Amino acid sequence: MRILAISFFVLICAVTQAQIAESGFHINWTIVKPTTTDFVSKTSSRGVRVGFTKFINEQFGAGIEGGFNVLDDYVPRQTYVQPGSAITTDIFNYMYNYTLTANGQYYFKKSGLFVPYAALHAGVMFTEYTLFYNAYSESENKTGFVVRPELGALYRVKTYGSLGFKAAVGYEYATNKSENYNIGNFSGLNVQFGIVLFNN
Amino acid sequence: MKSKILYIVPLALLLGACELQPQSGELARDMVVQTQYDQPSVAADIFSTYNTFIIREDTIGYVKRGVNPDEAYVTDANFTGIAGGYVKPIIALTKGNLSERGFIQVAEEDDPDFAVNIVILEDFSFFQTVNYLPSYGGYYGYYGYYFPVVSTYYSQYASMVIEIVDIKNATGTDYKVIWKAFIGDLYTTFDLKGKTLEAIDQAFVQSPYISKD
Repeated sequence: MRILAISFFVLICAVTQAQIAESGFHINWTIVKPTTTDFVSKTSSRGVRVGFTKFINEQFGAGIEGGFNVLDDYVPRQTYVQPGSAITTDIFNYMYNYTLTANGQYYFKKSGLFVPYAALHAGVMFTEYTLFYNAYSESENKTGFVVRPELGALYRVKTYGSLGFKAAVGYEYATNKSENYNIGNFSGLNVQFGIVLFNN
Repeated sequence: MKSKILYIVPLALLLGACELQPQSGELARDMVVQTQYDQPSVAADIFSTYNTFIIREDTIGYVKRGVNPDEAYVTDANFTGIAGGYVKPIIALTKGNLSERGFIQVAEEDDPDFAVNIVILEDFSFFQTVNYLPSYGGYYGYYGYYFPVVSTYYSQYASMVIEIVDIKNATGTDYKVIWKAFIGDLYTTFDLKGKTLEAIDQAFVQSPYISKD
């Protein structure tokens, strides 16, 4: 019995020491390329994501993340004709996305300073669709479900050091859509670069 | 070094996340031109029944909260900073477009078929909040302006409204607005005169049904 207890303790210690850290806080700069272009089509570098990860063991982690990005596009001046009216204007389409997700992470390496990983994020996305034309604007808000598979890597500068870096690519799909503006579900590719502050 | 990175990187990220709206210079490049027409009248080809119109020669209406109705107009004396004036070129261009469509300007005593009103609305919201009644009692005539029915809130926009009012088929004091053009914003433009004139032409371009033929 004593041998069994000692063996279990040694095993726990080994696992604890092998995992990347206890936890980590990250802030990422996010670049998004929409793959559905109903409303916006330009690649945007105006995005940021902030998150917290709990490293459960050497292969699995879980976390939460909040994100924001803004996408835009320009529609040149043209005339829109409807029964009884017509309007001529150019339009700046803006799409503001706010996400709050939970995620699970799988680490391909059990040790080392460089750890590739795969993650799956799922949560809610709040979208504000805004049309700016001259001094005027109009908006519609929608909330939907978002899912984001992601491949990336963590790099810890030195063992037990607090500073690290993170890079990832992902594909995001959200159920948000606007009937008023005839905009379908949102999807896009994203690339992230950021810093990670490790705890232990 | 590490502390510098910790300060610089988040700052760069925040800067990257800025520019959340289009720049004002880009927005003000061209004015918005919206036209509306009375569908039954246009379906009945009412413009082909018109021959003559009336329009004020040297003033346009000016509607703003707190402005005395007796002073609710502007002339070129109000736009001394604009070479060649602002009011008369607007009126001339409107008349020119109507003449090209086959209509003849006449005096009030010549019993015109329709009247053309041009009004600047200031501090009124644009499309949703300026709700003209489909027909309103008492067309005040060539020498009077009227106030639109404003339903909601204050805004900082200034818009020009051009109206065609049916006089020929008026019943009693009930005059119907056949066509309206909303042009704006007059505040934010960098070329008030040039862009207004361009917008007036566009209002007629997107209204091909305004024609004698």
